[in-house]
Amino acid sequence: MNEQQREAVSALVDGEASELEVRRLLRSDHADEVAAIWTRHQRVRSLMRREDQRFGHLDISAQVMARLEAEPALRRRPHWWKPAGGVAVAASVAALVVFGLAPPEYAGSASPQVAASSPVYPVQMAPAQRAAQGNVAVSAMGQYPLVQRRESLDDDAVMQQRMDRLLLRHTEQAALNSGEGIISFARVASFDAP
Amino acid sequence: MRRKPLLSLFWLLLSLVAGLQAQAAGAASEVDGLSAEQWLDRLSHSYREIDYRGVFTHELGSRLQSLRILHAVIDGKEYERLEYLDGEDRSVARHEHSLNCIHQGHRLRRAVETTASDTRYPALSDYYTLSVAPGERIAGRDVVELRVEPQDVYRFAHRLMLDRETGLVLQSELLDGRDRTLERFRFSTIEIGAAIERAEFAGEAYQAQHRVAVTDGQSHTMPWHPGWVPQGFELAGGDGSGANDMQTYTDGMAVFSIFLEARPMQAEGQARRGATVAYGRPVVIEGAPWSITVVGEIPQLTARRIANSIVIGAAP
Repeated sequence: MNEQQREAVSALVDGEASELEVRRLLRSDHADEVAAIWTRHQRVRSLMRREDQRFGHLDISAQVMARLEAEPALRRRPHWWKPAGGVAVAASVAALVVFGLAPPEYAGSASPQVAASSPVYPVQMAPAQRAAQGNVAVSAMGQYPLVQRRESLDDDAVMQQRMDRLLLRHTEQAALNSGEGIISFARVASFDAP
Repeated sequence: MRRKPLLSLFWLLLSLVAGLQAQAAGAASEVDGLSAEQWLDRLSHSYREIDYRGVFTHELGSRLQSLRILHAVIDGKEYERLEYLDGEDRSVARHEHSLNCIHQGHRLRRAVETTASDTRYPALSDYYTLSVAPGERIAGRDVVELRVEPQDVYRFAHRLMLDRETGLVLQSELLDGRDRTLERFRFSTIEIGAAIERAEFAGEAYQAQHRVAVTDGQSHTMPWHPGWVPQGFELAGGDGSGANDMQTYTDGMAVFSIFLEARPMQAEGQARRGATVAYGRPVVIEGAPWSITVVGEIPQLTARRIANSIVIGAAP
């Protein structure tokens, strides 16, 4: 291992290595040596910062690697739907959450029909506040029945198909109205959505 | 050759009137004696009434695909076919669409024809600013550039390149509030006035549905409605299959659809592809899980606001 590589490890510890340097280091034949220097540097650093040394002797990198390899590969999906806020969390996080509660009027409503005869009322229920608070815990749910499991990857694919279907139906109408005619269908992702 | 004096006087008067009109509209520009509104009107006829075949590209960010289009009017009926040239082999077609079948969008774009006689329809120029200028060549043809810019934040701007001879759209772009191109259609080759046989429209293709349940903005017949849509949007149709789960609105340029479905949605979510957005959220109606989704070529903000305004019951 040459001086240049040692310097690169040093830079890596300081978080100043370039992407190219990192790649070179990871590819080099001196992986063990790199790891040793890396560990030494980290120890010195935490000593100087008077950080907790009790776990300094543990090297869990092998276990981490093993666990990573055991993880099932994520399927690459041609995604365009995602949960609001752009957080596509893994299915293991937050197994049960409740999305949206009926306002009191609904809970107490006696008339079941949603016909034109029923009074006009908004479907909306304070979405802004609800979103700001995040999802409400199941225990807070009380008498409101709508509890659903967080989408798994498969549910995600179902959602994808569902959106493709709505896009197709929308485009059929848009093509009649937008001034582009059948050209609008270039936007459609799939014609086989159920 | 000398013009007849009477004819000269006629031209003088005509240009005076045109000049006054242009001044009143605040935009003095005209191309080939036609105002921006008149070019828009021309566009709304040409893409339906002319025979053409060509290849165009559709760009969404870094994604680019090529498509072949075939369009003809046979016995007063439109025949359209679109083939995707890249990736999976697929086609979509719409046959025998009568030219007399005028949709809301057509009406709004033909403001110069309709608003004088019919005040039921808003003028597109109330919420868009139109301008026209000569443009560069596209697909080997001279074009005029028609800009349709929104006066509020609820819709996108359109930059259209129209064939100078026929008014056919040879390139169209949708731009966001910062003038960034979200999506572009552009012909690379086009043959206008081509002789096209009915047989050319045969072949396997997805048949585009033509389901229009409502006529002319009869929103009071619908069992639910949006409490808010941006100014100028009119009901253009609902799903006629009996489910009443869909309504489409247009302002003449942009189109969006609202879906109110009796099926649950796990979480609020959104999607964007080019200029197309979708925003969906679960709702509870009479204790049952439903979902509202808005899909259209509109800003995310607009879709969200519309979805949050849905009201059960007919529009007042």
